[in-house]
Amino acid sequence: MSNLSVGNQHHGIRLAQQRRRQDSGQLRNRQWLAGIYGVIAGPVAYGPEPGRGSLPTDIVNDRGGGTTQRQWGLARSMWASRRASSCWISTCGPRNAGWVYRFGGALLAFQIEMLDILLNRKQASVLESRVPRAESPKQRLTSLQTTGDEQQWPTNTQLSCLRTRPRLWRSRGLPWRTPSCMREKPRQTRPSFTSSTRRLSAGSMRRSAISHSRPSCRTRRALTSSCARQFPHSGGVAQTILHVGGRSLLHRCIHRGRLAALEFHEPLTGLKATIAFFNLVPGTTLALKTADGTTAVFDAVARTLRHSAR
Amino acid sequence: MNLALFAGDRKVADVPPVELERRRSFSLFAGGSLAVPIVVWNRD
Repeated sequence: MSNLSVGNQHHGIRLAQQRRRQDSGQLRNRQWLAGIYGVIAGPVAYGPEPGRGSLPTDIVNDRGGGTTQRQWGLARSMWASRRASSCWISTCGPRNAGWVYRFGGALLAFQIEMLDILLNRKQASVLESRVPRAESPKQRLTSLQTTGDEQQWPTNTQLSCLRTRPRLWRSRGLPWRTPSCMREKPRQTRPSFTSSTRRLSAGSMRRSAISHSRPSCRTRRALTSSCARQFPHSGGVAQTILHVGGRSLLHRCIHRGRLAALEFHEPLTGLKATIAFFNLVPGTTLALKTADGTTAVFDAVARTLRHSAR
Repeated sequence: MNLALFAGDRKVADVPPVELERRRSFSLFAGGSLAVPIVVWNRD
């Protein structure tokens, strides 16, 4: 079962107009881990929602509603065929309360992969921190970390392999394990989206072009999502870092409605600090230099997000 | 060490000072627009 702790802070999710909004107050019971991609709290499932077309990306608070169990049942039945046009995540908590997370359109490969990780591990805690407003009034940071021994940083050798071999990076992921809530139902095969994930990810894996040396982050997948427009961050970057089983992922919302996910790893040497620079300004090539402009740290860094201009 | 962002020769924004530490990763995110740049450090 998940061991979650969620700070009583806004976590960056707003809902569609007709839905009740999820806010930090609804996280106060520390049962829900909310993120762009999903939730781990209690029995979790995700899958396509049948009978509906493209859904707006929204998050539905189904607490107290009567649909959770029904949807939960659908999740179980639809587990193996999740290539539908709309997907959702459902959680069940005490007294059958739950959240339903809906995603407009099919989940992208990265989203599926992220969910896969989350569902497999089911061990995560949310540690939130903020940059003091006095220092950065528009910035809000959120970090998620696994608890106890769950956090396993990859070694440098592994990182080297992972950098050059995305497939290996993925194959290093956690073995498929059916969530506990699904175990009573025999699993026949690994869900079909897996192959799709691999195929798409292999093609979409892009190196970060932000560092001339060894970047500490790599762009895994740039996502666009309508829900991002509803994020409360009027400026700056909202981001969440998730450390799961040696994979350190970051997903980020940029103020104009873009989502991005990157892979993080530890600095490659204990003797140095690693600096990564992400240029998220559309249509601009930026350089990071000393203030007098004489020495470039990063020269001519193009925008890194493929979908950032919309 | 004071850093700044440049677009070509034009200085776009000053980068908030950060105290670098060994064994740490620091990510600098530059967002917003050229007119209103948003520069944020993230310490991993």
